[in-house]
Amino acid sequence: MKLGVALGQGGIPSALIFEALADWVPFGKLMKKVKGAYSTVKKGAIGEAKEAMEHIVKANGKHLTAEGLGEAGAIIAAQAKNFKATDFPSRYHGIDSIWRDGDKLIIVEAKGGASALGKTVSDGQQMSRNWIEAKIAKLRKSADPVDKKWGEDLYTASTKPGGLEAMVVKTPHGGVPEFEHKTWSELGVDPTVF
Amino acid sequence: MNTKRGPNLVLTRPCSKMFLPQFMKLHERLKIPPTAVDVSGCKRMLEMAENPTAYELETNLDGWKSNLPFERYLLGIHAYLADELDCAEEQFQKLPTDVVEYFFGEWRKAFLPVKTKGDFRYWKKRAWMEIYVSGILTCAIIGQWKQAVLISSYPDQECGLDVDGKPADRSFLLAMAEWLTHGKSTVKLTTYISEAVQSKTPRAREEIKLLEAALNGSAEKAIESFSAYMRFYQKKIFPLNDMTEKQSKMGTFFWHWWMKEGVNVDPENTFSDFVIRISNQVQK
Repeated sequence: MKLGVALGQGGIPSALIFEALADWVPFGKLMKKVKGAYSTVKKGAIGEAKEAMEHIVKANGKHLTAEGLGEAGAIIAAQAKNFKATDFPSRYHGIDSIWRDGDKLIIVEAKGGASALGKTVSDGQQMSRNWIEAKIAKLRKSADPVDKKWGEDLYTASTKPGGLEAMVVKTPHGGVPEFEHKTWSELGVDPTVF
Repeated sequence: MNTKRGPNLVLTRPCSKMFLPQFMKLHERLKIPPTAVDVSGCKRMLEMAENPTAYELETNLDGWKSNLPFERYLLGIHAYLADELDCAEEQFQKLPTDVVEYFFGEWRKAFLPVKTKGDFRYWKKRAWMEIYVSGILTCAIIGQWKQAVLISSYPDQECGLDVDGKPADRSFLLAMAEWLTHGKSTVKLTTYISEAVQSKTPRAREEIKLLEAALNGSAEKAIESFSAYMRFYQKKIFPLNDMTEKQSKMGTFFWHWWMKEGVNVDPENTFSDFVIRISNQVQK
């Protein structure tokens, strides 16, 4: 399956996409190169990914959706931060992916192409603390035990210092992944914006 | 009519004669898998919410205050579905106090973010819709109608939308609050009703019919609107992947409201498996 098609389908746990991409030579090489290189950086652009991103665009052509491009960028950024993939099922609840860094859980939102963080009619920009709390509540209410468990884990993480964090990764067409990583308490300064 | 009796309850859920309640739990009758009715997980989460960490209190007091009624409602509904009725009743009894504390508690004065420059209207833009519904619903279940009126004095036009909330649902809830606080038709109420009726949100349109029947006051209309709403609920709301919708919120509210008014809107218990009843005690 073309990478872009796989990436554009959604609902695939990051761990599976991560494994598929790691086997692809340009991506695999990049993964090794950047692994952990940005682990202490809060905000930045991953310049090393330029060549691999060009490969992805070239290899997948029209199949590569903005969503797929964003997802690929997020995986590179997570690798650069040395995060571990989880089996979080993204589906319909609004959270793109969840990664681990030791005991810490990191909610990662991927934006590809020209897309930006959404602003809901209510008081909560996508990835703001309000928004994340609402999404955790949605998981907690789910009839699916897997979703529910994730909701419990995310809520529990949010009650501990450094337990829950959030990262937004934007990957424009022809560009490299740009990330911004915030702690839960940083998100609390203004709970309506990321 | 079959009934079940618990130690503190006068009368618990009636259920259709085709079921044997002593052998089938409510969630089994509703075909909800036991894995979805995880009471122990909810108890653990509520315990955590009742004992906040210093970090939570320091960094996310408002999030914690709004989470407490949410966790309590979640446990209440799970326990009810699992036939742990004492546990369910305990949560429904306590929940209105949590809601009052979230809406009117002194903590709001001390926790205004700097950017608001002391403007209390900030709170009106924070989450309220689901919390309000859980508040009036549990007041109805336990027959605390005065408390429902107090809780209904919070929502007003300045209240924003919850994340994922729909404008029509907001209009419906504002209409409910206006009706419960004034008990009659007002200009504001007419406006809210008209906003909800004109919306493309079927749920709000159907719920408004329940409210209109209550305003109309006729028992015939009440039974008709209740049956129509519950059929809509069974078809469109119950199947949602949301455990808090596995019992009808507005069906339950209006069933209790009409009982208070001396009208049984479901005399044949056709919809009794979707209406929360923990007691037949009615307090004015």
